[in-house]
Amino acid sequence: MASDLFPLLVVFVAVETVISREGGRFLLVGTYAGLALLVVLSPAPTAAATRSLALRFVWPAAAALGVELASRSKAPARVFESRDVKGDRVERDDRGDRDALRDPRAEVLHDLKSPLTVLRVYSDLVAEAARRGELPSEVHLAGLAREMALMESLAGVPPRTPASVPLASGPAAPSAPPAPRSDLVRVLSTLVESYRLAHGGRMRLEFVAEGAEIPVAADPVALQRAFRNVLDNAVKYTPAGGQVRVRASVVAQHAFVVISDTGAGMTPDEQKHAFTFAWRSPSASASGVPGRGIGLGVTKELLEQNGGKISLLSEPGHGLEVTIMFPIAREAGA
Amino acid sequence: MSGRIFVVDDDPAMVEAVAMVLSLDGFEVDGASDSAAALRAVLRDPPALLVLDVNMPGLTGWELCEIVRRQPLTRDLPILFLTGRSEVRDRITAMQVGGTDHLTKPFRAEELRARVRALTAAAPARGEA
Repeated sequence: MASDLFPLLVVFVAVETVISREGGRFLLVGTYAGLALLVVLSPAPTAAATRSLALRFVWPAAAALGVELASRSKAPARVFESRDVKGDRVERDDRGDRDALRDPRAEVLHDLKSPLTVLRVYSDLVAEAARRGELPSEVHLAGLAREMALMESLAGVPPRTPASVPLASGPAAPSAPPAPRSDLVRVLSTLVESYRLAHGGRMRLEFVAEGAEIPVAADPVALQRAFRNVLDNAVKYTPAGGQVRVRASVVAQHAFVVISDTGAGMTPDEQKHAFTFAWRSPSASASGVPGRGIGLGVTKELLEQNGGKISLLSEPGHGLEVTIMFPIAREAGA
Repeated sequence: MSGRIFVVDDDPAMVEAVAMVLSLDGFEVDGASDSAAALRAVLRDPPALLVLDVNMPGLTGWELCEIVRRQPLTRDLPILFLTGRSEVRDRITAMQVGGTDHLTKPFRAEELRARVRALTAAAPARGEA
Protein backbone atom coordinates (compact mmCIF):
# COMPACT_ATOMS: atom_id res chain seq x y z
CA MET A 1 0.00 0.00 0.00
CA ALA A 2 2.84 2.34 0.96
CA SER A 3 4.61 1.63 -2.32
CA ASP A 4 1.36 2.42 -4.19
CA LEU A 5 1.12 5.76 -2.45
CA PHE A 6 4.78 6.77 -2.78
CA PRO A 7 4.81 7.98 -6.43
CA LEU A 8 1.59 9.79 -5.83
CA LEU A 9 3.00 11.51 -2.76
CA VAL A 10 6.07 12.59 -4.73
CA VAL A 11 3.84 14.17 -7.38
CA PHE A 12 1.65 15.68 -4.70
CA VAL A 13 4.55 17.28 -2.85
CA ALA A 14 5.98 18.62 -6.11
CA VAL A 15 2.63 20.15 -7.11
CA GLU A 16 2.12 21.51 -3.64
CA THR A 17 5.55 23.16 -3.67
CA VAL A 18 4.88 24.90 -6.98
CA ILE A 19 1.39 25.96 -5.95
CA SER A 20 2.67 27.35 -2.69
CA ARG A 21 5.48 29.23 -4.42
CA GLU A 22 3.05 30.73 -6.91
CA GLY A 23 0.80 31.98 -4.14
CA GLY A 24 -2.12 29.71 -5.02
CA ARG A 25 -3.05 29.14 -1.42
CA PHE A 26 -6.67 28.41 -2.21
CA LEU A 27 -5.62 25.50 -4.42
CA LEU A 28 -3.29 24.20 -1.75
CA VAL A 29 -5.95 24.34 0.95
CA GLY A 30 -8.50 22.72 -1.34
CA THR A 31 -6.14 19.91 -2.25
CA TYR A 32 -5.24 19.27 1.38
CA ALA A 33 -8.90 19.28 2.42
CA GLY A 34 -9.77 16.80 -0.33
CA LEU A 35 -6.90 14.53 0.60
CA ALA A 36 -7.82 14.59 4.29
CA LEU A 37 -11.45 13.84 3.48
CA LEU A 38 -10.49 10.89 1.30
CA VAL A 39 -8.21 9.46 3.95
CA VAL A 40 -10.91 9.80 6.63
CA LEU A 41 -13.59 8.23 4.45
CA SER A 42 -11.35 5.39 3.27
CA PRO A 43 -10.54 3.03 6.19
CA ALA A 44 -8.03 0.97 4.20
CA PRO A 45 -6.41 2.89 1.37
CA THR A 46 -5.72 0.61 -1.53
CA ALA A 47 -4.23 1.01 -4.96
CA ALA A 48 -7.71 1.79 -6.26
CA ALA A 49 -8.13 4.50 -3.67
CA THR A 50 -4.76 5.86 -4.68
CA ARG A 51 -5.78 6.07 -8.33
CA SER A 52 -9.02 7.65 -7.24
CA LEU A 53 -7.11 10.18 -5.20
CA ALA A 54 -4.96 11.01 -8.19
CA LEU A 55 -7.93 11.34 -10.52
CA ARG A 56 -10.05 13.39 -8.17
CA PHE A 57 -7.63 15.81 -6.61
CA VAL A 58 -4.00 15.84 -7.64
CA TRP A 59 -4.38 15.90 -11.40
CA PRO A 60 -7.21 18.47 -11.38
CA ALA A 61 -5.06 20.58 -9.07
CA ALA A 62 -2.09 20.18 -11.40
CA ALA A 63 -4.27 21.06 -14.39
CA ALA A 64 -5.61 24.13 -12.62
CA LEU A 65 -2.06 25.10 -11.77
CA GLY A 66 -1.09 24.70 -15.41
CA VAL A 67 -3.93 26.99 -16.49
CA GLU A 68 -2.94 29.53 -13.89
CA LEU A 69 0.73 29.44 -14.85
CA ALA A 70 -0.19 29.76 -18.53
CA SER A 71 -2.32 32.82 -17.83
CA ARG A 72 0.45 34.30 -15.72
CA SER A 73 2.97 33.79 -18.46
CA LYS A 74 0.91 36.23 -20.58
CA ALA A 75 0.88 38.86 -17.83
CA PRO A 76 3.75 38.15 -15.49
CA ALA A 77 2.91 38.89 -11.91
CA ARG A 78 4.99 39.39 -8.89
CA VAL A 79 4.42 40.76 -5.48
CA PHE A 80 6.42 43.94 -5.28
CA GLU A 81 7.41 44.96 -1.83
CA SER A 82 8.23 48.34 -0.46
CA ARG A 83 8.48 50.15 2.83
CA ASP A 84 6.45 53.12 3.89
CA VAL A 85 7.73 56.26 5.54
CA LYS A 86 7.87 54.57 8.92
CA GLY A 87 9.78 51.61 7.58
CA ASP A 88 6.83 49.21 7.77
CA ARG A 89 6.77 46.62 5.06
CA VAL A 90 4.01 47.09 2.50
CA GLU A 91 3.26 44.96 -0.51
CA ARG A 92 1.96 45.68 -3.95
CA ASP A 93 0.55 43.00 -6.18
CA ASP A 94 0.75 44.15 -9.77
CA ARG A 95 -2.14 41.87 -10.78
CA GLY A 96 -4.52 43.13 -8.12
CA ASP A 97 -4.76 46.63 -6.72
CA ARG A 98 -1.90 47.78 -8.86
CA ASP A 99 -1.37 51.07 -7.17
CA ALA A 100 -2.10 50.32 -3.59
CA LEU A 101 0.56 50.91 -1.05
CA ARG A 102 -1.48 49.43 1.75
CA ASP A 103 -0.79 52.04 4.41
CA PRO A 104 -3.06 55.03 3.69
CA ARG A 105 -0.57 57.48 5.27
CA ALA A 106 2.11 56.23 2.93
CA GLU A 107 -0.30 56.60 0.02
CA VAL A 108 -1.01 60.24 0.85
CA LEU A 109 2.65 61.07 1.37
CA HIS A 110 3.56 59.22 -1.79
CA ASP A 111 0.95 61.23 -3.65
CA LEU A 112 2.58 64.46 -2.53
CA LYS A 113 5.93 63.58 -4.08
CA SER A 114 4.82 64.37 -7.63
CA PRO A 115 3.53 67.91 -6.97
CA LEU A 116 6.57 68.53 -4.77
CA THR A 117 8.83 67.43 -7.62
CA VAL A 118 7.04 69.70 -10.09
CA LEU A 119 7.34 72.57 -7.63
CA ARG A 120 11.04 71.93 -7.17
CA VAL A 121 11.70 71.60 -10.90
CA TYR A 122 9.98 74.89 -11.73
CA SER A 123 11.73 76.71 -8.88
CA ASP A 124 15.04 75.34 -10.19
CA LEU A 125 14.24 76.68 -13.66
CA VAL A 126 13.33 80.12 -12.27
CA ALA A 127 16.52 80.17 -10.17
CA GLU A 128 18.60 79.15 -13.16
CA ALA A 129 17.23 82.03 -15.19
CA ALA A 130 18.06 84.40 -12.33
CA ARG A 131 21.64 83.09 -12.20
CA ARG A 132 21.98 83.84 -15.88
CA GLY A 133 20.68 87.36 -15.22
CA GLU A 134 17.50 86.70 -17.20
CA LEU A 135 13.87 87.23 -16.33
CA PRO A 136 12.09 83.99 -15.50
CA SER A 137 9.94 82.47 -18.20
CA GLU A 138 6.20 83.17 -17.90
CA VAL A 139 5.56 79.48 -18.52
CA HIS A 140 7.83 78.46 -15.65
CA LEU A 141 6.22 81.01 -13.32
CA ALA A 142 2.77 79.77 -14.29
CA GLY A 143 3.80 76.18 -13.56
CA LEU A 144 5.20 77.27 -10.21
CA ALA A 145 1.98 79.16 -9.34
CA ARG A 146 -0.19 76.22 -10.30
CA GLU A 147 1.70 73.75 -8.14
CA MET A 148 1.86 76.24 -5.26
CA ALA A 149 -1.93 76.55 -5.47
CA LEU A 150 -2.29 72.78 -5.34
CA MET A 151 0.04 72.37 -2.38
CA GLU A 152 -1.62 75.25 -0.53
CA SER A 153 -5.07 73.83 -1.10
CA LEU A 154 -3.89 70.46 0.24
CA ALA A 155 -2.46 72.23 3.28
CA GLY A 156 -5.67 74.22 3.82
CA VAL A 157 -4.03 77.59 3.16
CA PRO A 158 -6.67 80.19 2.21
CA PRO A 159 -6.50 81.28 -1.42
CA ARG A 160 -5.05 84.63 -2.35
CA THR A 161 -8.25 86.26 -3.56
CA PRO A 162 -9.15 89.95 -3.41
CA ALA A 163 -11.27 89.24 -0.33
CA SER A 164 -8.20 88.05 1.58
CA VAL A 165 -6.16 91.17 0.81
CA PRO A 166 -6.04 93.27 4.03
CA LEU A 167 -8.21 96.36 3.82
CA ALA A 168 -6.24 99.53 4.12
CA SER A 169 -7.06 103.19 3.86
CA GLY A 170 -5.16 106.21 2.65
CA PRO A 171 -3.31 106.94 -0.51
CA ALA A 172 -0.59 104.33 0.13
CA ALA A 173 -3.06 101.45 0.20
CA PRO A 174 -2.11 98.76 -2.27
CA SER A 175 -4.60 98.26 -5.05
CA ALA A 176 -6.40 94.94 -4.97
CA PRO A 177 -5.37 92.49 -7.68
CA PRO A 178 -7.93 92.03 -10.43
CA ALA A 179 -10.57 89.41 -9.77
CA PRO A 180 -9.73 86.12 -11.45
CA ARG A 181 -11.77 85.29 -14.51
CA SER A 182 -12.02 82.13 -16.57
CA ASP A 183 -13.89 80.99 -19.61
CA LEU A 184 -15.40 77.61 -18.79
CA VAL A 185 -15.78 76.70 -22.45
CA ARG A 186 -12.11 77.26 -23.14
CA VAL A 187 -10.90 75.44 -20.03
CA LEU A 188 -13.18 72.46 -20.58
CA SER A 189 -12.69 72.10 -24.33
CA THR A 190 -8.90 72.01 -23.86
CA LEU A 191 -9.15 69.49 -21.06
CA VAL A 192 -11.61 67.19 -22.80
CA GLU A 193 -9.46 67.22 -25.91
CA SER A 194 -6.41 66.11 -23.91
CA TYR A 195 -8.44 63.30 -22.31
CA ARG A 196 -9.75 62.32 -25.71
CA LEU A 197 -6.19 61.99 -26.97
CA ALA A 198 -5.23 59.79 -24.03
CA HIS A 199 -8.39 57.71 -23.62
CA GLY A 200 -10.36 58.17 -26.82
CA GLY A 201 -9.41 54.73 -28.07
CA ARG A 202 -11.06 53.11 -25.06
CA MET A 203 -14.17 55.21 -24.59
CA ARG A 204 -16.16 58.06 -26.04
CA LEU A 205 -15.47 61.52 -24.62
CA GLU A 206 -17.81 64.32 -25.54
CA PHE A 207 -18.00 68.03 -24.75
CA VAL A 208 -21.07 70.15 -25.40
CA ALA A 209 -21.31 73.84 -24.50
CA GLU A 210 -24.23 76.21 -24.73
CA GLY A 211 -22.52 79.32 -26.04
CA ALA A 212 -19.09 80.22 -27.26
CA GLU A 213 -18.00 81.62 -23.90
CA ILE A 214 -19.12 81.09 -20.29
CA PRO A 215 -17.25 83.53 -18.04
CA VAL A 216 -16.93 82.77 -14.35
CA ALA A 217 -15.07 84.57 -11.56
CA ALA A 218 -12.67 81.73 -10.83
CA ASP A 219 -8.96 81.09 -11.14
CA PRO A 220 -8.29 79.11 -14.35
CA VAL A 221 -5.53 77.04 -12.73
CA ALA A 222 -7.81 75.98 -9.88
CA LEU A 223 -10.58 75.21 -12.35
CA GLN A 224 -8.33 73.09 -14.49
CA ARG A 225 -7.14 71.12 -11.47
CA ALA A 226 -10.67 70.61 -10.18
CA PHE A 227 -12.11 69.49 -13.51
CA ARG A 228 -9.12 67.23 -14.07
CA ASN A 229 -9.78 65.41 -10.80
CA VAL A 230 -13.40 64.79 -11.80
CA LEU A 231 -12.45 63.70 -15.31
CA ASP A 232 -9.72 61.42 -13.92
CA ASN A 233 -12.33 59.61 -11.85
CA ALA A 234 -14.81 59.43 -14.73
CA VAL A 235 -12.21 57.91 -17.04
CA LYS A 236 -10.90 55.52 -14.40
CA TYR A 237 -14.27 54.11 -13.43
CA THR A 238 -15.80 53.94 -16.90
CA PRO A 239 -15.26 50.58 -18.60
CA ALA A 240 -14.01 50.23 -22.16
CA GLY A 241 -16.70 51.14 -24.66
CA GLY A 242 -18.35 53.52 -22.19
CA GLN A 243 -18.91 57.25 -22.41
CA VAL A 244 -17.88 60.36 -20.53
CA ARG A 245 -19.90 63.44 -21.33
CA VAL A 246 -19.20 67.04 -20.31
CA ARG A 247 -21.93 69.63 -20.70
CA ALA A 248 -21.63 73.33 -19.90
CA SER A 249 -24.67 75.58 -19.78
CA VAL A 250 -26.00 78.79 -18.26
CA VAL A 251 -29.22 78.94 -16.24
CA ALA A 252 -30.39 82.03 -14.37
CA GLN A 253 -27.01 83.75 -14.12
CA HIS A 254 -25.29 80.55 -13.07
CA ALA A 255 -22.93 78.35 -15.04
CA PHE A 256 -23.48 74.62 -14.74
CA VAL A 257 -20.98 71.95 -15.72
CA VAL A 258 -22.27 68.38 -15.68
CA ILE A 259 -19.74 65.58 -16.06
CA SER A 260 -21.46 62.24 -16.46
CA ASP A 261 -20.06 58.79 -17.07
CA THR A 262 -21.32 55.29 -17.68
CA GLY A 263 -19.20 53.69 -14.98
CA ALA A 264 -20.11 51.77 -11.86
CA GLY A 265 -21.66 54.75 -10.06
CA MET A 266 -21.85 55.25 -6.31
CA THR A 267 -24.15 54.09 -3.56
CA PRO A 268 -25.82 56.77 -1.39
CA ASP A 269 -23.33 55.96 1.37
CA GLU A 270 -20.38 56.35 -0.97
CA GLN A 271 -21.74 59.69 -2.16
CA LYS A 272 -22.02 60.83 1.46
CA HIS A 273 -18.31 60.17 2.07
CA ALA A 274 -16.99 60.99 -1.40
CA PHE A 275 -15.58 64.38 -0.42
CA THR A 276 -13.91 63.15 2.75
CA PHE A 277 -10.15 63.48 2.39
CA ALA A 278 -8.36 60.15 1.78
CA TRP A 279 -11.60 58.13 2.00
CA ARG A 280 -12.17 55.30 -0.47
CA SER A 281 -15.18 53.07 -0.57
CA PRO A 282 -14.57 49.35 -0.04
CA SER A 283 -15.96 48.66 -3.52
CA ALA A 284 -13.57 51.19 -5.11
CA SER A 285 -10.65 49.66 -3.22
CA ALA A 286 -11.71 46.16 -4.24
CA SER A 287 -12.20 47.17 -7.88
CA GLY A 288 -8.47 47.29 -8.54
CA VAL A 289 -8.84 50.82 -9.91
CA PRO A 290 -5.97 52.80 -8.45
CA GLY A 291 -6.79 55.80 -6.31
CA ARG A 292 -6.20 57.38 -2.95
CA GLY A 293 -9.51 59.02 -2.20
CA ILE A 294 -8.04 62.50 -2.41
CA GLY A 295 -9.25 63.92 -5.73
CA LEU A 296 -12.86 64.79 -4.94
CA GLY A 297 -11.99 66.32 -1.56
CA VAL A 298 -9.40 68.57 -3.18
CA THR A 299 -11.83 69.39 -5.98
CA LYS A 300 -14.48 70.55 -3.53
CA GLU A 301 -11.92 72.74 -1.74
CA LEU A 302 -10.70 74.29 -4.96
CA LEU A 303 -14.22 74.95 -6.24
CA GLU A 304 -15.49 76.46 -3.02
CA GLN A 305 -12.43 78.69 -2.77
CA ASN A 306 -13.45 80.02 -6.16
CA GLY A 307 -17.15 80.48 -5.43
CA GLY A 308 -18.27 77.18 -6.92
CA LYS A 309 -20.30 74.27 -5.62
CA ILE A 310 -20.23 70.59 -6.44
CA SER A 311 -22.82 67.85 -6.05
CA LEU A 312 -23.15 64.19 -7.02
CA LEU A 313 -26.01 62.18 -8.43
CA SER A 314 -25.72 58.46 -8.97
CA GLU A 315 -27.44 55.15 -8.97
CA PRO A 316 -25.14 52.16 -8.51
CA GLY A 317 -24.48 50.49 -11.84
CA HIS A 318 -25.75 53.46 -13.83
CA GLY A 319 -22.83 55.85 -13.78
CA LEU A 320 -22.12 59.04 -11.89
CA GLU A 321 -23.19 62.59 -12.65
CA VAL A 322 -21.10 65.38 -11.13
CA THR A 323 -22.64 68.85 -11.25
CA ILE A 324 -20.50 71.93 -10.68
CA MET A 325 -22.05 75.37 -10.39
CA PHE A 326 -20.54 78.87 -10.54
CA PRO A 327 -22.09 82.32 -10.58
CA ILE A 328 -21.60 83.95 -13.97
CA ALA A 329 -18.87 86.59 -13.86
CA ARG A 330 -20.14 90.15 -14.20
CA GLU A 331 -18.59 92.37 -16.81
CA ALA A 332 -15.76 94.56 -15.47
CA GLY A 333 -17.22 97.74 -14.08
CA ALA A 334 -20.76 96.39 -14.05
CA MET B 1 22.18 67.83 -27.75
CA SER B 2 19.21 66.45 -29.63
CA GLY B 3 16.92 63.46 -29.85
CA ARG B 4 13.38 62.63 -28.94
CA ILE B 5 12.40 61.68 -25.42
CA PHE B 6 9.07 60.18 -24.44
CA VAL B 7 7.78 60.91 -20.92
CA VAL B 8 4.98 58.88 -19.32
CA ASP B 9 3.42 60.02 -16.05
CA ASP B 10 -0.23 59.98 -15.00
CA ASP B 11 0.20 63.54 -13.73
CA PRO B 12 0.22 65.82 -16.81
CA ALA B 13 1.88 68.53 -14.71
CA MET B 14 4.85 66.22 -14.22
CA VAL B 15 5.07 65.45 -17.94
CA GLU B 16 4.99 69.18 -18.65
CA ALA B 17 7.65 70.00 -16.04
CA VAL B 18 9.99 67.26 -17.27
CA ALA B 19 9.47 68.46 -20.84
CA MET B 20 10.36 72.02 -19.80
CA VAL B 21 13.61 70.86 -18.23
CA LEU B 22 14.69 68.56 -21.03
CA SER B 23 13.84 71.03 -23.78
CA LEU B 24 16.54 73.29 -22.30
CA ASP B 25 19.07 70.79 -23.61
CA GLY B 26 17.55 70.73 -27.07
CA PHE B 27 15.57 67.54 -26.72
CA GLU B 28 12.26 67.12 -28.43
CA VAL B 29 9.89 65.83 -25.77
CA ASP B 30 6.66 63.91 -26.29
CA GLY B 31 4.55 62.73 -23.43
CA ALA B 32 1.45 60.91 -22.34
CA SER B 33 -0.51 60.46 -19.14
CA ASP B 34 -2.11 57.23 -20.25
CA SER B 35 0.30 54.29 -20.16
CA ALA B 36 -1.53 52.22 -22.78
CA ALA B 37 -1.52 55.11 -25.25
CA ALA B 38 2.14 55.70 -24.41
CA LEU B 39 2.99 52.08 -25.14
CA ARG B 40 1.36 52.27 -28.57
CA ALA B 41 3.21 55.50 -29.36
CA VAL B 42 6.58 54.17 -28.19
CA LEU B 43 6.29 50.93 -30.14
CA ARG B 44 5.15 52.78 -33.25
CA ASP B 45 7.99 55.29 -33.13
CA PRO B 46 10.71 54.42 -30.59
CA PRO B 47 12.30 57.47 -28.93
CA ALA B 48 15.94 57.92 -27.91
CA LEU B 49 14.95 57.62 -24.26
CA LEU B 50 11.82 56.54 -22.40
CA VAL B 51 11.08 58.21 -19.05
CA LEU B 52 8.54 56.32 -16.94
CA ASP B 53 6.58 56.91 -13.79
CA VAL B 54 5.88 53.68 -11.85
CA ASN B 55 2.45 54.10 -10.27
CA MET B 56 -0.01 54.72 -13.07
CA PRO B 57 -3.56 53.69 -13.83
CA GLY B 58 -3.75 50.82 -16.32
CA LEU B 59 -0.30 49.51 -17.08
CA THR B 60 2.21 50.38 -14.39
CA GLY B 61 5.63 51.70 -15.37
CA TRP B 62 7.21 48.38 -14.46
CA GLU B 63 4.79 46.46 -16.66
CA LEU B 64 5.21 48.90 -19.51
CA CYS B 65 8.97 48.51 -19.25
CA GLU B 66 8.74 44.71 -19.38
CA ILE B 67 6.61 44.85 -22.52
CA VAL B 68 8.93 47.34 -24.22
CA ARG B 69 11.90 45.14 -23.41
CA ARG B 70 10.28 42.15 -25.13
CA GLN B 71 9.90 43.96 -28.46
CA PRO B 72 12.82 43.71 -30.91
CA LEU B 73 12.62 47.38 -31.89
CA THR B 74 12.75 48.67 -28.33
CA ARG B 75 14.76 45.94 -26.65
CA ASP B 76 17.77 48.20 -26.09
CA LEU B 77 15.91 51.46 -25.51
CA PRO B 78 17.27 53.32 -22.44
CA ILE B 79 14.55 53.61 -19.81
CA LEU B 80 14.67 56.00 -16.87
CA PHE B 81 12.21 55.51 -14.01
CA LEU B 82 11.00 58.58 -12.11
CA THR B 83 9.31 57.39 -8.95
CA GLY B 84 8.46 58.24 -5.38
CA ARG B 85 9.66 54.78 -4.39
CA SER B 86 13.08 55.05 -2.88
CA GLU B 87 13.80 51.72 -1.25
CA VAL B 88 16.67 49.53 -2.45
CA ARG B 89 14.11 46.84 -3.24
CA ASP B 90 12.28 49.23 -5.58
CA ARG B 91 15.51 50.05 -7.36
CA ILE B 92 16.19 46.35 -7.73
CA THR B 93 12.72 45.78 -9.16
CA ALA B 94 13.26 48.63 -11.60
CA MET B 95 16.40 46.91 -12.82
CA GLN B 96 14.77 43.48 -12.86
CA VAL B 97 12.04 44.64 -15.21
CA GLY B 98 14.65 46.13 -17.53
CA GLY B 99 15.06 49.73 -16.37
CA THR B 100 18.34 51.43 -17.20
CA ASP B 101 18.28 54.03 -14.42
CA HIS B 102 16.12 55.19 -11.53
CA LEU B 103 15.56 58.70 -10.16
CA THR B 104 13.63 59.25 -6.95
CA LYS B 105 11.05 62.00 -6.59
CA PRO B 106 11.43 64.74 -5.57
CA PHE B 107 14.49 65.37 -7.74
CA ARG B 108 16.25 68.54 -8.86
CA ALA B 109 16.07 69.78 -12.43
CA GLU B 110 19.86 69.58 -12.77
CA GLU B 111 19.90 65.97 -11.58
CA LEU B 112 17.33 65.01 -14.19
CA ARG B 113 19.27 66.78 -16.92
CA ALA B 114 22.51 65.07 -15.92
CA ARG B 115 20.94 61.61 -15.94
CA VAL B 116 19.28 62.17 -19.29
CA ARG B 117 22.46 63.54 -20.83
CA ALA B 118 24.35 60.46 -19.64
CA LEU B 119 21.69 58.02 -20.83
CA THR B 120 21.34 59.55 -24.26
CA ALA B 121 25.06 60.04 -24.80
CA ALA B 122 26.14 56.54 -23.85
CA ALA B 123 25.19 53.35 -25.59
CA PRO B 124 22.28 51.88 -23.65
CA ALA B 125 23.42 49.37 -21.09
CA ARG B 126 20.75 47.53 -19.20
CA GLY B 127 21.18 46.95 -15.53
CA GLU B 128 23.43 49.89 -14.84
CA ALA B 129 22.17 52.30 -12.19
